[in-house]
Amino acid sequence: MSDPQPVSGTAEPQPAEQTCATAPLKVLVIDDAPDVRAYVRALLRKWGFDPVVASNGADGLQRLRGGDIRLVICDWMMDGMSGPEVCAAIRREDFPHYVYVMLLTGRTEDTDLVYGLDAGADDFVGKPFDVQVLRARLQVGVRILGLEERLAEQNRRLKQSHDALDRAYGQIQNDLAAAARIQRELLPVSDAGIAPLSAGWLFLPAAKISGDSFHFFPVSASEMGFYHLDVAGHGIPAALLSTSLSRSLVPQTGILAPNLDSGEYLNPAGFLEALNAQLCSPDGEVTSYATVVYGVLDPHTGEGRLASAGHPQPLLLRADGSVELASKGGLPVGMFDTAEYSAHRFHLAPGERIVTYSDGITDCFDADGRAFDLEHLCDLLRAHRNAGSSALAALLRDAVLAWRGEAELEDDVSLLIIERPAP
Amino acid sequence: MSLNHRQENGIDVVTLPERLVMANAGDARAQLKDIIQSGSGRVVVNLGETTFMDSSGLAVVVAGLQAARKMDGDLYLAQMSDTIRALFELTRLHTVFQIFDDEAAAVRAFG
Repeated sequence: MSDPQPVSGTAEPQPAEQTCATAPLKVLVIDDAPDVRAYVRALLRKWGFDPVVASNGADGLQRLRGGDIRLVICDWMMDGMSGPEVCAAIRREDFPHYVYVMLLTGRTEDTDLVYGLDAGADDFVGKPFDVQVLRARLQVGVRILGLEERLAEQNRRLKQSHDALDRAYGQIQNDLAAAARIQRELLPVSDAGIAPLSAGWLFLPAAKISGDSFHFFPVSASEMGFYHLDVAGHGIPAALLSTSLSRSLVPQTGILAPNLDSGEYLNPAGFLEALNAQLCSPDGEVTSYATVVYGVLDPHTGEGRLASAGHPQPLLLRADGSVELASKGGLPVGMFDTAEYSAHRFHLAPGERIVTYSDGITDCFDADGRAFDLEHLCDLLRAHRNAGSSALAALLRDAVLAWRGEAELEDDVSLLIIERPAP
Repeated sequence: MSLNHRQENGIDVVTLPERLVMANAGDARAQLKDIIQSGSGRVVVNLGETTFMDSSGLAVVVAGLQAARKMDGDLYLAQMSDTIRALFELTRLHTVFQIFDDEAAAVRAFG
């Protein structure tokens, strides 16, 4: 046997120092032979480790439960627990880190390496051992423990960032829920304000908050105004713009609201032109745009005016059960500052209705990829024309959700029905 | 995603992806703008492979048109499917674009 140099003062690899720069690595030696324990302990000290000894498996396990030892050299043949039994017991324990176990196997002893491996041993050193072999094997163990430690450290960091992401995600979800509440507060709660007209509506945001919005309100002593807006895109940016536009479009909300006396609310084309000017960016680049329809209606005469900007054509539900498309409009607002809009007249007989909607309803796809489409929508409106407006809206809501099935909505869905009272 | 792009007689011919939606619209928009601004401003956008486009996708094409016209050029559309055409008609955008049945005709139209 060679007699290796002590670690201190040599240029040789320093196994104990590789994983722990501050304190030497603890190594537990479990052996029932006092001379072997003493010899291995002396070698370990010389190599820069911090040896701990135990004379049997039970004592060794007890010492390991202190949690500060990660490397074990254990004899195979011992009184009480055998080496493989100690291995198996170590593996059963729930230590906070991996314990690397080397079994000392006598060459004359009847030892089965496969049995030892199955029990959980990591390596074997034959006895009587070559000191250099023991040292090299110890270095392998130190290397593996180093890898294990780096992995554990990476896992800790991953878990930390995962937890941080989790918290951030929860915060975003809370913010979205709060934003959705604010948005719902901007939607109509009752049609009392536009009596004797009545209204029904449905509103299904695709990602909690929506780029769609709609409302109705009196605009003069004799006329009611209504709009339906769909901001391009969906999710947070679309909803932010939609919400801020809604605030500025509804005349009753806040000091920033346009002045009713300006006459814009009576002139649908002017209304869209003002909105277009507000949304077009000065550098002429399209940043955000919306499709919108705005109309006014006199409940007593049934005379109305309507202007549209790239929005699906409103539907006129006639008394005879037919569905007519209102006239086409101009370009979406927010794209071209030169866009022009014009108002078109329409008329509702008593009991007739006008329906505005966003394309989220007609472009809602079922599991087979079929769109809900306009024809289907018109069929439903015809089939249930005797239902009241809010019952009709509830029915359409169920129909869209049933069409979509289990899948989440891809686009915001909204629809507004305004009804002239029956005689 | 990289837009399919080639030049023909100084005209940039760009093919848009199969789906042009919010997820890839920002990327497509930046690439289309780069192509237009480093070219002559005369652009043909081929929609032959595009089967679905949402409102963000429409903004890509409109932004391209604006970039081209800012350079005194233009952006023509070619080979749009019935679905895409319906979207352009719904939003009335078919009134601001020159639309051609095939790419070669669109390229020829630049003269």
